[in-house]
Amino acid sequence: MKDNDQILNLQETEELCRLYLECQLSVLEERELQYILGKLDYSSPLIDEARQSMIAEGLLTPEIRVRKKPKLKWVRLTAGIAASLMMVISLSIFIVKNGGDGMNQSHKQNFAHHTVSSAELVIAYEGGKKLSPEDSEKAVNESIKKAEELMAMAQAQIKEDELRQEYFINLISEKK
Amino acid sequence: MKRYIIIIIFSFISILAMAKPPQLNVEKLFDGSYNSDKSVQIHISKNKDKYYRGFTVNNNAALVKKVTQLFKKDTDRAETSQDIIKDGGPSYSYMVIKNNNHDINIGIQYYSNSSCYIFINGSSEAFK
Repeated sequence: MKDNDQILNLQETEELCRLYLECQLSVLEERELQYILGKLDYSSPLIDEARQSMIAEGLLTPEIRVRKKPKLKWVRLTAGIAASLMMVISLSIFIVKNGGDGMNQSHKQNFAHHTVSSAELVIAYEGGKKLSPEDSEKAVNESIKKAEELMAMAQAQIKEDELRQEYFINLISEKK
Repeated sequence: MKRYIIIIIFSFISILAMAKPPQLNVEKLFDGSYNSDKSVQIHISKNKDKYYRGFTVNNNAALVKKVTQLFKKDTDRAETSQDIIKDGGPSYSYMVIKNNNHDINIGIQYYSNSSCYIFINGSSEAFK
């Protein structure tokens, strides 16, 4: 029977259906056709007529005829749910990562407040107390200035070290 | 069916390609646990382009020691690092860590054994 699945094309199946409708098939051939119609998704007026006839005779049940469809529906439904879950999870991770910058909950709320008003977060704590937005901005600006000066100093030092290194390399190669 | 498979594949790729935060040890100083510490000054500034954090310790030797330890832990990941030695000990240490192809500058300046200033600075992209 498996061989028939692979060999029979639409025309051959139609021919078999025509013979069935003309009552020219043996019992064994009818069984074979019953199996094929239950297994294959071929559809044509002749094949559908043969199917209906088989269903009416009780040789083919509607469940068998449409056996694949509910399975496919479940697969689609499962894939759809999985895809939706994946999108929700990735979106959640993205939101959590953007919001999760190592601050505690109260700071996150502050951050949300700042993003609404100025799209910038500026917070300062001094002596155990939170500064006002104006004082925070001033203190943060001074702090940034200090950091920039230190960074510039480090960059200058790195450059100086490189030049010194280069000078010694040249001096050694000249002596050789 | 193909549509769902494509959506699933894209979701996986987007998760894998998502930028990773640097998870610096020195960032632990800004988790909120030092906000009420009277020996500390915390300065935070963040917008869509720039990210800055400053942490100053005054007269707290134990905290300076802890800050130094956190800084040293991060130096293992540094692309470049530099110490400026003064009076037998480092007065200023600086390092650059790369994350998401962006530079993160971290520096620590010592005023004394019990006072220091540490900063984290870089583009916001480096911290996503």
